[in-house]
Amino acid sequence: MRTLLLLLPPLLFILLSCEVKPEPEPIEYGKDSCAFCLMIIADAGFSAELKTKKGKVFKFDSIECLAAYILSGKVKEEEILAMWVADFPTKELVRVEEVKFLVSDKLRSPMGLNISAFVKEEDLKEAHRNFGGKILTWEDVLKYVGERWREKIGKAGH
Amino acid sequence: MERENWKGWALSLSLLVWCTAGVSQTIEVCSECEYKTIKEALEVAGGGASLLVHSGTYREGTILVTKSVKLIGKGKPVLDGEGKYEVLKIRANNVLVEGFEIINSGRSELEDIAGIKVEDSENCVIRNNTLKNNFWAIYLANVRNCRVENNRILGPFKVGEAYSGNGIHIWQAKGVLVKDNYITGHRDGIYFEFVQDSVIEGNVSEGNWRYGLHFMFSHRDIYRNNLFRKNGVGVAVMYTKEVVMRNNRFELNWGGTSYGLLLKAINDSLVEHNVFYKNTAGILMDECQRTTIRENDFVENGWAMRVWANSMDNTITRNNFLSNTFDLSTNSSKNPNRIEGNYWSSYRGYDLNGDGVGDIPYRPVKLFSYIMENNPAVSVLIKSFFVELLNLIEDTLPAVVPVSVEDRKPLMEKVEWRR
Repeated sequence: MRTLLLLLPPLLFILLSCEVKPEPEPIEYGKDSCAFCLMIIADAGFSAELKTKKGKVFKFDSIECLAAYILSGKVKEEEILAMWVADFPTKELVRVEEVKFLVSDKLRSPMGLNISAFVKEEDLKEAHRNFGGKILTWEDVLKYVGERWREKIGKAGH
Repeated sequence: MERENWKGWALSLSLLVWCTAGVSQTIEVCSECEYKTIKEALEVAGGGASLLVHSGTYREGTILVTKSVKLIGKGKPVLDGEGKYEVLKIRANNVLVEGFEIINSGRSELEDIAGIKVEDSENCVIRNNTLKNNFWAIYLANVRNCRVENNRILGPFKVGEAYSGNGIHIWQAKGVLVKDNYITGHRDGIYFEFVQDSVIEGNVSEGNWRYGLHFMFSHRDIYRNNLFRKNGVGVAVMYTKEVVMRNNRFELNWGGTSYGLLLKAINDSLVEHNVFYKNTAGILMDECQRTTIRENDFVENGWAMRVWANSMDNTITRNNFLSNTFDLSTNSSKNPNRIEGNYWSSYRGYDLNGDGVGDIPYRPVKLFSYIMENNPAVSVLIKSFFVELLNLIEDTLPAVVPVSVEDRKPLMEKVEWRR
């Protein structure tokens, strides 16, 4: 009986650790490939990630690929646990709700739609001053990618 | 009358002298010359001038070229960026850069700092240079009719160290020739984005961190006679139509996610006379349409080809599949592609009527590889007794295979194709 009791804490630990944590899995640059475009993820300034409630992880080489993945219907909105994008200055993955986006031809992203993300307002303003472009919200990003990549998204959808 | 004629002659003669003098203006640069730095020489140079730069090491920060000049190195002069500067920046038409060793460009998180950068220009020629330890080596942005030939590019990347920019990086261009270069130690050896009507030939790209060649949104290009070897992942050709890939070798790209050639969203293209040797996957095909894969050799790859379900109306014919672990795999039970008249070294059929075509179809998709495409985790069972058993069952009872992929006209002999 006592030995069984001893087993209890590790068992509990295992059970608890099964819960899907809303934290991003680190991206292995040069090894992981993008779930939308298949490219190997190399640039930490533009990467993105999505986790489902079941704990499935999808990694992306660019913010436009994350948007396109959602738009193509490969994952349903109610299945999404969280989404992260790279904060351009720090290259850290942060929740999509916490950032604003910049579209600028001077900050070229791996897939050519040139979307970057910023947590801090002052970083965003500085980048906007230096590189120009347009400031977007996540909703704007979805719309922008949907318009520019209609064909790609349609193809990936079936 | 005669006098006027003479006048005309004299005028045209003097014009001719003046013109040729202008065209052949040559300025020498060396430590004992009148001009000791390239920057000084550039200031006095007229359009069309040649700058003969003699051997020595030049540390001049960023050398900005805004005139149509020929920069010619004699005895391989070294241009050193000292880890701080973009070395050579060209913003003029008709510029030639030849015979230099360009080293140690700066690096930046924000800017693409290069050994040689050409922007918004036409008719540039970059040839016979050596580039060492630059962040990006040769970088062309918004150019027309440029040639990058016979350069030796050695990037800073070594296994386990931080990565760098690309070796030959071309963005927004038309009519470019990239020929006979050697590239190693960069992120992507050769990178094309929005480059059209261009040719990549005779290059060797090996030991780069990600791709030997990376090719996006670049329509109507040809790449031929290149060797892509031992790059981190292989070669990726993406979102492009009407590209011709001929006589290339893709070899030794080995690793979990590696492949010889990734074809992603490629339409109306041709893959012909290539050799895929010892790659995890020879070709990985996704979302491709109306592309022909003809007369290629697939030798000793993990998978010769992985054709994913959303590829359709492609033709795979007259290829040699030689000693691959798996010839073909797919993640769908349907096969909307034409696979016919290939040679499969593991085909065990017979040819009673002697027409060179096997009498029973060949099914290149093994049950196990199908299961594996849909559940990657089962790859740990590869080469296990379970899989042997599965293959045996499959051979005796072909009906268990859920996949309808078959070559109805498998060839009895290897296809002898010639370049």
